[in-house]
Amino acid sequence: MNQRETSAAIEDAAVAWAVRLDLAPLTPSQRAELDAWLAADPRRLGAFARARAVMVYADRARILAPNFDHGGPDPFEGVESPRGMRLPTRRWAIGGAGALAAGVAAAAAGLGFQVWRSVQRYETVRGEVRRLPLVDGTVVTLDTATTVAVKYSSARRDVQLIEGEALFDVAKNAKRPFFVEADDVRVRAVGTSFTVRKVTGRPTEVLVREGAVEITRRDSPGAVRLGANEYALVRPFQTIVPVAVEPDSMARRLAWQQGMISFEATPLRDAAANFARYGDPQIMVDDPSVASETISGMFAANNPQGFAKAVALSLNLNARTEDGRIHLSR
Amino acid sequence: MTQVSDERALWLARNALPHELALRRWLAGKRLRGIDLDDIVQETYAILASLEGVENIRNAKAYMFQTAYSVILAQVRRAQIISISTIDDIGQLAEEDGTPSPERVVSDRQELQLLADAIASLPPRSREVFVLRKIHGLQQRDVAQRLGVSEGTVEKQLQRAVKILTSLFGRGGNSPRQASKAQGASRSVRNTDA
Repeated sequence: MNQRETSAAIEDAAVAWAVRLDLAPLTPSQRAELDAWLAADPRRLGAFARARAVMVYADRARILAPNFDHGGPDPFEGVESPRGMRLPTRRWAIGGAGALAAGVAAAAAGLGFQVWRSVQRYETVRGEVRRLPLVDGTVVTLDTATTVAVKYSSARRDVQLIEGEALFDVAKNAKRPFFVEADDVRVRAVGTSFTVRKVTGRPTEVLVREGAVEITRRDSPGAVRLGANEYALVRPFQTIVPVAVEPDSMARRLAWQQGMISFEATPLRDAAANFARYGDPQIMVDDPSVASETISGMFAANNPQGFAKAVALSLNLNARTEDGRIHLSR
Repeated sequence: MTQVSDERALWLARNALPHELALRRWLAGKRLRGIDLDDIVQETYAILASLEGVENIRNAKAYMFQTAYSVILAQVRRAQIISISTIDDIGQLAEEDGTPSPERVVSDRQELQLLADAIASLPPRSREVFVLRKIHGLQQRDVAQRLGVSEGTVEKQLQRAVKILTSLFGRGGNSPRQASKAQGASRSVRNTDA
């Protein structure tokens, strides 16, 4: 029988090595000792790597915490400054565990902030809706087939909408303005909730649920302000005209968050194109006169068959499936 | 540095640790007789740590599972301790690849909150040492002086903290946050299906 070292014993030793490495650079003889230890069993390298992962992860919090532009209370409130000179010699019992937790949380948030400093891309596949809470408290909800790039710095927050539609529930921070860019359209927000939609072949759309945004376009000076419950299409070289949106219409326009698609006197061709953004089977409407018929109602985004059936019924059309596509015709 | 660069350690922290719990559950579900689950996990990490590059790994979870699978196969071949048929259903791994992992919908922010909670849940002595050393960046000597203990004690408490954290992150520990995390995650997954 082989006397295999237990994985628990390996883990203990690996943690000890990772801690020693963290506390001080290894001496040449320690290094040789570690190398020899690691070489004797592959599991040792694994356990060591795992312990190192935890160490380095936590290490980030230390390096980045001071840089964190939190704009809130002191992240280390309740935890004495290491630079403070009047330090008690012994302080095992921590007075405010809550304050400490808050301090650590703020430090961790600082970690997040720095990680996000580089550009991060997020995307949803067809049929997927995803909520994306960002480190500053902003929540971005991505609709189907949507790609965004997030770039945060201490001075500003930028999100580029590369494709699709997203709802932005922006956390207020006057010192760090929030921008969404879609092609040459730029939307600026301070503490607001709005969507931007950019689908190939269609003008960019902006819808404000709460607060206000300012829309600028690269091809024209000046900004257009869009208030709560207002909507605008942004077309090149055309004036941006805010349009009022009724509350129930607003709810319908945001129905995709619940996996629903809503239509209001929408031409069938647009409705079919909208369903295609969410998944297969595709709905084909070949006859132009049929394609111009309009439809209203709320439908499950992942059920184009159900939609086609309902449309066929209400418009007295014929729905047949062929080659994995649904054809609507008279 | 030695054997495991900071860069790779951070990659492991972000791409392997969050999936370790799922990997352990998956392995446990296989009921592989004669195979030690911890051994498999350690060897899996060893392989991930020795990879030349990780830039091309797009689905870290699937990669980690596949690696664990290869470790099991190697053990089977080496020792013939279990029959191949026992692990036939590991082929179902392919199905797991495509599904969005619960971890993916747990945001970075929640992940960081978990880290903060985990640190806050350490036993007082380990926590104090850990916070002074890792968050405030004090030297071992200064931590010892400040707390009025020996440097050896600092090292021991730090070891204890890292052991607990490693276990919390990788095994789910007994932290209630982990349970709520898992629940929240499955809810989110259902939402995306809806």
